[in-house]
Amino acid sequence: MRILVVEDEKRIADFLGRGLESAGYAVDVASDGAQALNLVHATDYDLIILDLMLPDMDGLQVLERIRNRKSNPPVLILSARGAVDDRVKGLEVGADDYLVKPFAFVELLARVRVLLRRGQPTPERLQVGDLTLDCIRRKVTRSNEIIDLAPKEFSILEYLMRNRGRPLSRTMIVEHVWDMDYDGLTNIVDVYIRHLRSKIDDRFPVKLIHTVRGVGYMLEWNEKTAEKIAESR
Amino acid sequence: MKRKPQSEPKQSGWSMFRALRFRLAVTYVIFFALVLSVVGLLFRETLATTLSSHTRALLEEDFVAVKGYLRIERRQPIWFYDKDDPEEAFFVERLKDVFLLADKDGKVLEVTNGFLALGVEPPDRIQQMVASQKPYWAIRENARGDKYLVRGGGIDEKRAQYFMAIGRPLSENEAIVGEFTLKYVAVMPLLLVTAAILGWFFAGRALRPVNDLAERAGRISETTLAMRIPKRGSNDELDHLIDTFNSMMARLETSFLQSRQFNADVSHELRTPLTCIRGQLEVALLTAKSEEQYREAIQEALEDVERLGQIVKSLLLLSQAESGHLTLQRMTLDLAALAADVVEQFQIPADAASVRLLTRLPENCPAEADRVQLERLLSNLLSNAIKYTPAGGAITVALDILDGEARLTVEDTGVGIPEEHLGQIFNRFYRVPGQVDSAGERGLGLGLSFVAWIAKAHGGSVEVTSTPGKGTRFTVRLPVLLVTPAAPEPREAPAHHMT
Repeated sequence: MRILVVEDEKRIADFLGRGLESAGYAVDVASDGAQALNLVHATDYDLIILDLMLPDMDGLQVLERIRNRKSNPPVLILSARGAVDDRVKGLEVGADDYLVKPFAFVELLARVRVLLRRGQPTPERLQVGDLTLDCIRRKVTRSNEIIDLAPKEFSILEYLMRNRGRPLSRTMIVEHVWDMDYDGLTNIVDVYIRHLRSKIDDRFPVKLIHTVRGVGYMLEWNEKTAEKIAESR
Repeated sequence: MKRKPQSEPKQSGWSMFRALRFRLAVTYVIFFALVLSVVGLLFRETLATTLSSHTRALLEEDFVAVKGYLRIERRQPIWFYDKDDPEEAFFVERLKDVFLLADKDGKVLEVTNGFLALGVEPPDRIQQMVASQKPYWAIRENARGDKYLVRGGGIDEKRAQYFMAIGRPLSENEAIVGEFTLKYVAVMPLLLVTAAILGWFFAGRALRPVNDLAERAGRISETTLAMRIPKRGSNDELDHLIDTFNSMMARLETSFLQSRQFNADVSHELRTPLTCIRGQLEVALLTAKSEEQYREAIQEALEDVERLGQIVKSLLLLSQAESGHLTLQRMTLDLAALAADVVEQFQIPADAASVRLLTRLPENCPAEADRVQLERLLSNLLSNAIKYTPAGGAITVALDILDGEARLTVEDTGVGIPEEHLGQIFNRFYRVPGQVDSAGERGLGLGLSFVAWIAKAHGGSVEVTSTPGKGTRFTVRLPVLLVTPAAPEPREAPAHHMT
């Protein structure tokens, strides 16, 4: 997986590169728009992280030119402009996600992981361990037991299952499920996760929803734990 | 919460406008009533005077006529006239209506009932009047209250002297004046009501543009600051008011936009180092393995904290300067010596950047100035010049006294500033896009704002000319003291005048 970081602030570019490389990605850094376009032309990137304030051109211009090319990698915008209309403009021009500075690196990493998974075919029926979710009939079962979920709970579970094994931040969940900018209202996610846990986890020995410290939540079926529990019975 | 204070002044504005309209109308009515009364009284007085002088003339004619018709034979009055002429008969009868004839001793020879009712003068009074030979005029009143004008006087008849008096009623005059007064008083309320209606109407008309203005002003909020009120084209006081109001709005809009831009700039400026600090520390936590790596991350973060602190300090100083809380500590000082001092301080960084520092300073250049601020001004200009001048270049600091002002120029052979950015470089946070200093970092974009403020606070100005690739020249103009004080520098209290 190759990521292009377009950022003119050297220190930010530095830690982004170091952090992403340690997470297992190959990272190229461009410090202005022209350099970024050259790199995009020469290399196929799986993801572009784009700062909006570039010395030679506006980040949105760069984004437009990237979108005019055949290659269509997901783009995550970084900006010090946090106003809602800036965000909307960025997403309208074709950005896939938008992160306002200062951001938590783990949040960036979580978003990067989700963006990189995009483009892969999405199955109609999701399965994690003994938990299944039918996207069309909107039916959830665990160990063949039908579980009733409220619409928002269903959406959160679907989002978690589609991104199985990837931590999702509370902000990401809010943005994904509520289609809104719920800045600061992220504890609503904790409430829904509690409900979800009581319905799909509490009665079963193997827990699926995990809290990831500093980020948010992740859904994963831990094979070893499942085996251990099965043995002990 | 936000609506209330907006609607309240509007309402009180309305009632104030109503009150003003009411007051204008009432004033108009009172004034009109006063004018009407004075005119009425004057007219009545004139009418009465005219009528009475007219009656007097008629009575004088009557007196002469009586003398013509009257013969006195054996102390008896005899009237000579054509008794067949009904007009003449009627005329004489009227003359005889109020008639008195007496001899020179005051003895009444004949008196009519009409005169008797007015009262006959005592004999001694008649004697006096005959002796004086002057016409006698009097206004008498009978028992019924009817007023009469009486004309008396001596007449000579056959060498004897007599006293004769006739009268003419004044009641007719009084009736005319009375009728006039009555009609005038009857018409006055009608006129006053009309005046009140007109007054209300005109006051309303005169105040309507004011009301319009108030209503439009009330609709202005922070989102409609660009709104202006169209002029009426009448070129009167109201147009002047609208002009004043519009220019006030323009100033407000500018300062509002500036402060919004400033807020955006500040938050951007603060976000970048914050992102660096947070990201570096987080990534170090995730990836660093050796103590060395942790140390490095912490050091980098500290540098950014330092940068944040500097931004906050500069911002505070600038906001103090612009809100007028920072006052100049003026004293008489030598600009040339000050410039030499500052240049000396920059010798080491200049050497490090391989840039030559040249000076062209006069012997002495006295000025009333704030030493600390002027040092800051020159330091900012010099550090900029060193930052943007490549190795091998030169910076010249010159001071000239021309036309009563000091011109301090800092000229470098640096990268220069493209013309389209020259107008903005004194704005806060403005940095020429793409320009980085020799260390590859960008400044805060506040230094030149300080330079501009300090020059302005000293009653001077700063200008810039630049050729990209060749160099930049900043010229600061400052007022100087023309008369060199012989006495040693007096330490003065902080000056309160800023210009």
